[in-house]
Amino acid sequence: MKYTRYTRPFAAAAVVVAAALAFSGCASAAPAAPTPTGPVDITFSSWLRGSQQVVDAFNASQKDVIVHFESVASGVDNYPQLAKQAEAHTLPDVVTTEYSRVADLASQGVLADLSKIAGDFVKKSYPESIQSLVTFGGKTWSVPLDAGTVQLYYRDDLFKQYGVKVPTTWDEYYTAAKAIKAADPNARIGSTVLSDMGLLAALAWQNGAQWAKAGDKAWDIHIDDDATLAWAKSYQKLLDEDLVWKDEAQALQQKQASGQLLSVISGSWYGAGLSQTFADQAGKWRVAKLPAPASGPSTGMLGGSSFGISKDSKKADAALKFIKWMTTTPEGIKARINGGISTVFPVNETARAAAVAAFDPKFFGGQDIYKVAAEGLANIPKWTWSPATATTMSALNDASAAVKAGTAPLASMFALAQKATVDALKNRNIAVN
Amino acid sequence: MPGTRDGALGRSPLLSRLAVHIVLIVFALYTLLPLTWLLIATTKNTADLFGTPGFSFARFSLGDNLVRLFTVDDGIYARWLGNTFVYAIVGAAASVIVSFLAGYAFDKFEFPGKERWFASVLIGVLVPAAVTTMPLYLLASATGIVNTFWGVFLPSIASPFGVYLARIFSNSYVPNEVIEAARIDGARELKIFTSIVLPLMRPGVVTLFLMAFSGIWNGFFLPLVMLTDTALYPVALGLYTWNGQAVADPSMAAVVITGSLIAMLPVIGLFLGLQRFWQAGIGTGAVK
Amino acid sequence: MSATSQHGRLAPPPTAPGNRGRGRKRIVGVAAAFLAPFFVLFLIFTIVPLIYAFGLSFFSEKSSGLGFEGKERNFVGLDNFVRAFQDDKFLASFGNVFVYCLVYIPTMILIALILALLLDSLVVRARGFFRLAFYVPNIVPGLIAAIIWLYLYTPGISPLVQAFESTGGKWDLTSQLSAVFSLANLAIWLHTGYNVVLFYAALQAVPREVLEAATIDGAGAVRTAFAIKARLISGAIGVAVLFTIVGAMQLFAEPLLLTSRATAISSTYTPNMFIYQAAFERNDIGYSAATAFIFATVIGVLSWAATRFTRKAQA
Repeated sequence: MKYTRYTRPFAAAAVVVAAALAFSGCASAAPAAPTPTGPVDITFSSWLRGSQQVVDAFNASQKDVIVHFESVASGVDNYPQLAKQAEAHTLPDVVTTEYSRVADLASQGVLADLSKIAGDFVKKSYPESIQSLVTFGGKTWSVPLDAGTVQLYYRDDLFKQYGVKVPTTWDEYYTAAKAIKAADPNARIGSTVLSDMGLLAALAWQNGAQWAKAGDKAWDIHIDDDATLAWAKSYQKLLDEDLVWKDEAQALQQKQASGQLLSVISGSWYGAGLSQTFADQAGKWRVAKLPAPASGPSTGMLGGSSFGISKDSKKADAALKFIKWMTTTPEGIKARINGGISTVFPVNETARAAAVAAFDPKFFGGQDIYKVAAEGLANIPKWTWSPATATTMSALNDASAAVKAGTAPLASMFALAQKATVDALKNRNIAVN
Repeated sequence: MPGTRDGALGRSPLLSRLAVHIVLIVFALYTLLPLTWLLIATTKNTADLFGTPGFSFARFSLGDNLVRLFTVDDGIYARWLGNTFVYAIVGAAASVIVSFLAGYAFDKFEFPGKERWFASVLIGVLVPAAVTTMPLYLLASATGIVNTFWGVFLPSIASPFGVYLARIFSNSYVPNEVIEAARIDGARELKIFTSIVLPLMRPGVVTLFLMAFSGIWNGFFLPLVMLTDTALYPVALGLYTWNGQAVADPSMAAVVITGSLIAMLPVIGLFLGLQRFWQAGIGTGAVK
Repeated sequence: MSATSQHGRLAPPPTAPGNRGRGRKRIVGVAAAFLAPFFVLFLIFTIVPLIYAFGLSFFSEKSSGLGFEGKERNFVGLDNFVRAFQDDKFLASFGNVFVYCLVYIPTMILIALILALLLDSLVVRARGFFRLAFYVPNIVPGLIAAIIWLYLYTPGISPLVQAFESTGGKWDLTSQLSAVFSLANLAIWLHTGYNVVLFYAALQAVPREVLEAATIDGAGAVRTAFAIKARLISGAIGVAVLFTIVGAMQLFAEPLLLTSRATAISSTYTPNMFIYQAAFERNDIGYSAATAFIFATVIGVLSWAATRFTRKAQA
């Protein structure tokens, strides 16, 4: 029996009464107090593959904490549920969040401030760029698991066939894109990043943009900052000269299957899906660092998850023990990988060793793709997501239709997103400079 | 019903008969081809799904797809199917009983303010789910039925549209004289309803049951809001979340496609099996 | 509409004359018992949430500072309603469904009517097969239908797109126009069959004498079909139009699924999506409730207008 599954057959009869209660803001159902002796029961919800196996292994490895796992819908569908659970005080003790939603969930009353119990732990266990994703406004909100270092997946065989060098800078990317289109009008170097706003953000991030910053009293929001607009201007050439595919996902995959798409820019987790989907292209793919901007090597991040403790939880110590085990021990990572095919890329170095050891590099022709991702990770600039990231992403996505259709320049998207984000924050009475 | 009617086209020449059939065949192709595509697609692995034309076969991978469908995420798909059966059968049965009790009462009993009450039912048809779902969620959280079977089951029982149809069915299938005769014999009202009225309305009962069943089977909005635990999901919501994952992991695409076909089979089977009833039932709704 | 009714609903149930008062009271009691289950559930799961939503629409949740200090629910009067009428996205969502309805509803009703008339004509063989073939998509869940058509809209996979593009057009899910047509086609595919069955049944119920009279008048086949038969089932058509409008306005699952794959379909493409996003993505509950009420009012007015219009057309 799982924690939220009350089976009260005629609970509905109480709804009318409860309506009055809920209206005046007195929500019910406070979590039961922990038992003073014996093991502590905590609850954990996640959509990450292999979570059940991690929980089983953890429960078998010690006797102090018993974790009860609930599998939930993936990210974008789970965040609204978490916010609603916070309202109803039915949150599990440990929740999963991608970096882009940490601030959002903190502002919705989902996440507890972990500064006191885990602030130092996060500081000493993770590289600085990762810390900035979970520590802002002077507080630490969650503990990182993995990172989606953005990199270039490419068809080694086709680059050779067309005689094109794999690009290491964005200037080279542009030259290579032209060469590929010239060699075969039905092939392109890649697809536009307009298919995924997270990717778009990652490229601005790579170029040194800082979309959000938590000050002492208010947020600084600069989605249309110079670094972003400079990136947009240089990327515009690829769109104008039709050097990248602009199709939607389904059509792109069709092109990928038929070898008309030579490279994919994505997070370090993409390797797993790629090797499963296009198993018959085994040995043909390689990974390279994301082409560098003029300012020198760097990259951005797409995806990557962390674990937080819910604001309602009365068992933070037990919860933290479980989180540390999941994120920074080789056993925790091994259990996750045994749960199925996964290219989880742990950001804690001790934990990463276990992932590297378990990875089969055959699909990538024996290449050590973890090494590429680790090098990339070292070059990620600091970054903070605002509490209105969902709005930013929707606004960018809505604005991208006109850019794809060619009726508006890429750079025009960011002012729209800036306005939407600031409006959303102000509307929630969150201070913006 | 060929031969029972004598329409004006009955004596039309061969040419117009041909034209009529061509139009019908073209539309039948339009309705059936996408389903044919689905059938073919379930036999492909993800690479061929994207890499080969839609209506041609490739490496036959139906077996692999089925195995993957029932093993991915610890075999949760079978659980989703089971959940959906429970939600749909129990929910549709309860909904039919409640609708017919009310529809029959509206048709056969006289009571003060009857048409006003009925108008309130009709207004219920017009209330968009979006208006009530969010407060319903908050109320359900307050009572603890959120993220449970009850949170999905209870709100789907009362169907204003069901009551509206049930009244029409009662009106056209149940002659007043029959009830009157039973009353004179001294039968109790509930007894009349269960042993005389319901059997008379059988096509209507089947039609409403099928509508409620497929409504709940395909239902998506309410479970999306009410349920967080994937172990409680109905199959449509499960497929929706898997489809979301297919953006990051395209290999899920073949699983979603195969899962879609399997999820449709029970409903299609039910409709084919009970054809006779619902075609009559929908017809009754049209005439009134 | 009740011309063909065998047992007029207008006739009150006869009661024995001597027994009138008591019988009537008893009947009222029985009726109440029969109606209770529905109305109790209706009250709890529709009326109470409706009132609750109405109450919520006057409140707004406010944070402070960086947003990490918790939220307060404040009374804001009509602010949420005022904001809704100034919100471009909310207004645009009505524009989108309006265009969608304009493309979808007349097309679908006309196709359904033509098919029903053809099925009703005597020359057709295999009527049962056609009716079933037309009806099958109606059983397919909207979500699955959206998944299927997503592939059938994809160049390289779909012969339909190839055929379309060979005529010189460009199928592009990023354009607003194809978004509307994609959604309308999906809805036509899903719902035409149900209305064919509905219209066909209505046609079957048209008394033979009426048609014979028309034929004797010398009306041609096509004229009989459209001018006379279609007119005779205008009641059924009216009901179909009404329910189609109500359903079409509430468009949600299909575009929600398409948002991730078709850029032109924004996350607030329809009013329902807008309301959902406000409530569940932005957690802006008061605003969501206010927009939901405006939406419900629009549906109410449209339905009323549709009813009036079809009544008039029948008269």
